[in-house]
Amino acid sequence: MVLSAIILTPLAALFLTLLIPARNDKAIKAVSALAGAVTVALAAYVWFKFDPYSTARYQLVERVEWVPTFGISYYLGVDGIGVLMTMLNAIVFLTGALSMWRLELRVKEYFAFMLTLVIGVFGVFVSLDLFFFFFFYEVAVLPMYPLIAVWGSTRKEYAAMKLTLYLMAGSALLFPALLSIYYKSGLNTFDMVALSGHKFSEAYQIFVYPFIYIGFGVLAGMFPVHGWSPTGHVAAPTAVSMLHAGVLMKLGAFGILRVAMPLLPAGAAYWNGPFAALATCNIVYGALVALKQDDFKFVIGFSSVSHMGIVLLGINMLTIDGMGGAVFQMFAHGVMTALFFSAVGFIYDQAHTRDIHEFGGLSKHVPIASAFFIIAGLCGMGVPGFASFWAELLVFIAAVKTMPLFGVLAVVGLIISALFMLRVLKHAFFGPANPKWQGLRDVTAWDALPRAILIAVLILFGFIPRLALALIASSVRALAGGI
Amino acid sequence: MSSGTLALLCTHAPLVGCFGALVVLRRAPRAAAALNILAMLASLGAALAIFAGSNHQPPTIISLWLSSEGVPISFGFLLDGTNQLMGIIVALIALCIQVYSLGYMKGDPGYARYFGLHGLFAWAMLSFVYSANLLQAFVFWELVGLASFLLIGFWFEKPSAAAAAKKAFVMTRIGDVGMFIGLILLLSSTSTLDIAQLMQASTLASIPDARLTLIALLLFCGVVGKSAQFPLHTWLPDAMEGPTPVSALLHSATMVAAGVFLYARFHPLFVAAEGVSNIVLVIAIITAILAATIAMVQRDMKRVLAYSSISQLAFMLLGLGAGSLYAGVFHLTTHAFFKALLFLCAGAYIHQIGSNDMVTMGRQGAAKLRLVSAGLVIGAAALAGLPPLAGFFSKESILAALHGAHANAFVYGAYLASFLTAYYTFRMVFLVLRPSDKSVLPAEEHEPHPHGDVTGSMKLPIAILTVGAAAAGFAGDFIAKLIGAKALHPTYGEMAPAIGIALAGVIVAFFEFGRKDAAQQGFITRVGALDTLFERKYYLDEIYDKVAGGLVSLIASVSAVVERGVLDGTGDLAGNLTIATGDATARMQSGRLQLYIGSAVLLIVVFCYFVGGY
Amino acid sequence: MPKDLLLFGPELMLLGGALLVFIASIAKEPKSEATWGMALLASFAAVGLSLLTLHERGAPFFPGIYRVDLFSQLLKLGLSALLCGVILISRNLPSVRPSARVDAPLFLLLSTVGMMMLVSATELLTMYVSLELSAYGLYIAVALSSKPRGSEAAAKYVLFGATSSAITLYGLSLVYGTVGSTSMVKLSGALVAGADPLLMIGMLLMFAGLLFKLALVPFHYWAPDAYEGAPHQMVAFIASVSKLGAVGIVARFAAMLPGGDSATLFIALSVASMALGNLAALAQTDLKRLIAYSAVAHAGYLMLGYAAMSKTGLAAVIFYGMIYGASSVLAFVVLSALGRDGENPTMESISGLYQRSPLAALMMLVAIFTLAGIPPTAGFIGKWYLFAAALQRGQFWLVLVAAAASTVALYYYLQVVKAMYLAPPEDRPRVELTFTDSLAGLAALGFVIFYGVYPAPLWELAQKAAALLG
Repeated sequence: MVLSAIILTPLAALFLTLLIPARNDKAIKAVSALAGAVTVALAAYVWFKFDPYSTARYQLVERVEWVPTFGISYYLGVDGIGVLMTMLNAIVFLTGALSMWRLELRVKEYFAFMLTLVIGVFGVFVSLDLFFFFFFYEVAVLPMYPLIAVWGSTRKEYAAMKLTLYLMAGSALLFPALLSIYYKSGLNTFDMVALSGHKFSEAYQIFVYPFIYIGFGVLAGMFPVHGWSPTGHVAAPTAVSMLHAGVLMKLGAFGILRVAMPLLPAGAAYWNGPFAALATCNIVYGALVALKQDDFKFVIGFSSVSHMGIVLLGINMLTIDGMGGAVFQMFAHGVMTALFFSAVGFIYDQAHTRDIHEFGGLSKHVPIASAFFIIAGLCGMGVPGFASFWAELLVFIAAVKTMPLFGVLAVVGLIISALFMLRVLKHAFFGPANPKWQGLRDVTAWDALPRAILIAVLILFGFIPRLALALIASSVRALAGGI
Repeated sequence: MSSGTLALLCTHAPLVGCFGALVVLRRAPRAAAALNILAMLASLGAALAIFAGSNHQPPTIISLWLSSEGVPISFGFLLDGTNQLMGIIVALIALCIQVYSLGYMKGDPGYARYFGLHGLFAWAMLSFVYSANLLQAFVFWELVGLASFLLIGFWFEKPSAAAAAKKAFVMTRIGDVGMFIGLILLLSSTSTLDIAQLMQASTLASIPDARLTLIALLLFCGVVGKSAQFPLHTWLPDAMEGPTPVSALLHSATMVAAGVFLYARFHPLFVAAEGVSNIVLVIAIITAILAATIAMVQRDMKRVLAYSSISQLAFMLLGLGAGSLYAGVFHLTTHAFFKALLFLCAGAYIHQIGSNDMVTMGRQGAAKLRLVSAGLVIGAAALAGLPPLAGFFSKESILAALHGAHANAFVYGAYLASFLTAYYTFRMVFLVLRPSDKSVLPAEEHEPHPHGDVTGSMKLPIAILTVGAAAAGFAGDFIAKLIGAKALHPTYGEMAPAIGIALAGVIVAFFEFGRKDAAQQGFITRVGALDTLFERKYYLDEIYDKVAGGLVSLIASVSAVVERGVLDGTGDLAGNLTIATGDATARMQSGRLQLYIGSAVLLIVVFCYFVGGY
Repeated sequence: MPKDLLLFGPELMLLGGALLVFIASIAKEPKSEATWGMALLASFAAVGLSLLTLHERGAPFFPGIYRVDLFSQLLKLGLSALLCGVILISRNLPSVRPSARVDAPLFLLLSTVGMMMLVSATELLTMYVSLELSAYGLYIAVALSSKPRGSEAAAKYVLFGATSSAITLYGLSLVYGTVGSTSMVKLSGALVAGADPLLMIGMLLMFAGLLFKLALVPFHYWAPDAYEGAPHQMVAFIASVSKLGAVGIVARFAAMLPGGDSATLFIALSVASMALGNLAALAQTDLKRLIAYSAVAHAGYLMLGYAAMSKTGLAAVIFYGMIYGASSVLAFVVLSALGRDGENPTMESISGLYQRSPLAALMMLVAIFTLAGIPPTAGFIGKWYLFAAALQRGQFWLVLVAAAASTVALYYYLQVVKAMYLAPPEDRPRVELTFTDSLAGLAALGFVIFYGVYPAPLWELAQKAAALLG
């Protein structure tokens, strides 16, 4: 029942939030933070309960018939990948709630929408029924609209609309594809485990695979349909950016891993070349565009495009190393971007500008707040000692081995990502201290808490990558073995 | 303690220091410094203890660090002679420099941070040295780069320091990318990255020739970046923006030596790879001469030393490329001592006088610092290769190795570089210690800003390193035994020209700069074009900036335009078109009933026609 | 025969209610409160009786002409419940001429009786008469508007409706001419036996008349003008009760069709409706007009289910009809509260609704999410079933088009959300929901959320009902 509990915790918090009067904003924030802490604990419980060496691929399974005549069941379960992602979401949820401690505008609704988003994301990560998977997927996407449009900044309404329409267009591709899988199998079930046991004809797989891949790919920030993501990142408020780049984009990649590949292995094998090429574009192109951005959040936004390219590249290698690296990168990038946005949010909330040229020598004025950003930046450059290093390493190793051209191009992209990160560090945090920012307040212990949690996670998995890799190993092996 | 535990202690003690200084003791700088020095002492002790234990131990594997299907990476220590030697050098030099920094960095607001970053560096460097696995080594290699980045940019408020840090990171990263790809190719060819296993002849023989050459070249890219060889050398002189002890530690003795060390580590591979050694020799000889010529015309003492480092690293690669592991490692060892010494001396002058400019130093009475000046002279003599100091022996063995190699052009090139080395080194010595009243050199624009007196904690390391620079040359046989390579003992016939050349360099320098009433103008100034060329560092910075930087910037701009114009534009256009279509559709609803009914009926008739076949 | 009376109960209740309302309205000083209360009671009773007879089967009074089964009773339950909702929000009828406020419930009740008979009719003439009965009620309801535009809308509605009735009648005569009977059972047999072109044309013409009710392209022209001009509550009725009735009778007809050409025709109409409805809605600022175009688009979605020509498709249509009706009621709870001054609510007047009444904004939000097909509302499930039905026939591209059309639709739905939640309220007045408004709204809201999360009960009823067709 623990998986249901993970979904129900934010749901309960949502009801509680709706009941608390709006003026009591501290209580509302506390409810969310508490729910975050509880989900972290539950995710940790799942982590320890999950046996990566067991032969059962999906564990902690719960199943209730939901619409029996239509083959829909409330069917939850996790494999190693699901466990890792659940933990990621719990961490980002908790730190995101803590990062919004200073929010004053329409607090109640903010947290209500955020909790809805979190429910959707948890639901996706633990669903084994295709219907519920898609159901939660949509639940997760929609709250982004009000979250960005109300609490955002910088062309927020445009960004919110753009994001929603892009993602819904992605869903429009998924809708017919998922339903056609249901009918094509003839099994009268949306149970993904059962469906993945069915062997679809190769021609059919090749036909339908791109719809699912691109449908989910939109959310994963796939080139060339990534346009919503930087704009959305920039416009979103801190915690939403955190959840958005940190977790929501992972839903896309997770969808590919959970739905597209196990169900349509021949499709994956057929299409992996072109999609790997697009993923390489993601990496190199994203980094290049980031090089020309002056807004902090745009830089991070495009760096996300670049980093998600690494995930997609790894996935398309169809090898254990590549996919394992990709999954690990989903986790590492999630935590890292959360840290990025959390760090930027802290500075923006005070300075009300994000133009890197307007800053300078921030490390002097706010050394600790700057250190948070710098650490995230180092992580983004793929410096060892942080989780993302290992993830990228595995993906690159797999890519150079499997598709040397894309692999080498992707590795060369590392130089560009160093360039754009260093550019930001140089302009904003180093150089002569701009006296304009004399009055900036540095973080208090309470502000530092969420950021410190994220850094601790990055370093923990950077030093002991085996923690995560052992967890996902058998799941990834099963996944890669199926193709 | 088992050697594995010792190695763990040796490598990780500085990490404790780092964490302590950066997180816990931020507000207690003196305690942070003490903690780091203690940690360094522990490291040195452990490194010595490992050495004192049995020789040539097999690698001690601690645990499997990470395992994915094709990437088994063990975390372990390889404790053979080469590593033991390098470990001791690194720990010793790092300790000396930390002690020195106690005085040098006194009063700096970032005192604790400084020592913390030192700890970070020592941790990374020592772990790199003892790595049993190439991927593990790569991890720490990158961390060394990170620590270097942070230390170069230590005074981050100086724009030049921030720029230098960025440049260092990017230039070395370019080399690293090549190395990384080489590493992956190696892994996919041999399915292991265990260094001891890789270096076995049977493993190397199993790789196809062309592939082995490619791998060797790619790995060499990493060496070129890290050890600042042409064409990726331009970051090192800029890295002098860091505090001087940092320059001494990173950019002479340890970090840049990592590249050469890697080459030495993989010596069997480079030897086995056909054609690579020639490329190495060519790159090295170009670098040696290029850097030496630039050093001839610099006025900034640290820059002279920086170019000299580049040049000397090239010398090491010459030895290694010529096939002599011994010559390369020997020079690496001696260079660590005398170059660290020279930098610390330079630091002492800078600290006392407050300027990097050698002319200013001389005029402000640098010679009055007796101990420091003695160190400078001994270090310089060692660098110039004057007998019987450290540099002499190691340089001779490199020349001897080159004699053995096929093409003699390299020998003459090395002679030229030796001459230039002796010349610019003593140009430096004379400028600093023998200011001339007749000097034509203009005074510096800036007033010097003295920081304070040279303290005892600064003098002690200088003294220790002076002894090292004087004596390390006699350790040749010992080193040969330790690393298991054949020592080279050059004949007197081979030695004579080298000594002569070095002396010639010193003498020319004396005539131009050292004698009483010298005009202090180098012979090169008479060839104005060359002078400018050297002065402007062969315009390489400008070329890189314009060509490579411009190219990247151009592509990035194009990408940004594509993003805005094409991709975003298409999305927006699709949206706007849809809305426009919507408007048009809505306008069709004109409100005229006849039209509505007429069109509906018409449609029905049309359908009837089709359905009914009428 | 008490059993027959019971089976005819829902209709009787409404008829009785209509009679009472009529009597009360011709009293000396008629009170609109009184007629409203009577209508409410009658509709409540109809709901109760529908529930009671949900699983009954029979043919009261006239075997072969009138049939009571799960299909008819489920729809009657839906019709009466939606009627209840509409009446709950009809206590004040600001956009109805004051003199007609007393009579308004009468037409709603009568029209609903027509709808109920329509879904039970198994004979063509009965069907036609029921259709006309329900239509006349509506014609008058639309004409009750206090605005000049209302009369214009009513005139158009009547003319267009009359044309379509004529077409239906003509089709009916052709069918009778070929089959020689007005019994649907015989008709169905004839259709199975072979496709006589004349019979097909007759069917097509009858269908055209029915599609007019659904507001499917090209029979949709009346909808935007009628929605805009008619009183709010009457529009709510058209959008919910009348729509569900049409869904029912079209389902009965569609179940008889042999497929083939008619499926192609349905698909063409479906695509045209989805495209035209959604595109034209993009340009609307009058919310009632916007809902009208969105209704055109929804008729297109419904057509996907009919075009599937399968039991799943019909079940999906019934399911979606119910959900759509509920979401319409929900939307009109808010819209009629907003339009209490008699004016049509617009994007402008809904601005800042969140600050003016959080509950109303929430109701509208849920209504919009249902219409847009976003979970956890039942609109999502409804679309899921409809699309699934189309895919069962292998209509991959059709579903893709439908899903893309939904994406376009999201744009204008979000415009409403944006206006409600983002735009400042400025000095617009607070929106007060009366007790009955809230009751209707919360019931509808609960309905769409409950079946959005747990659709199984309703879906199974719909499936069983669909199984009885054809």
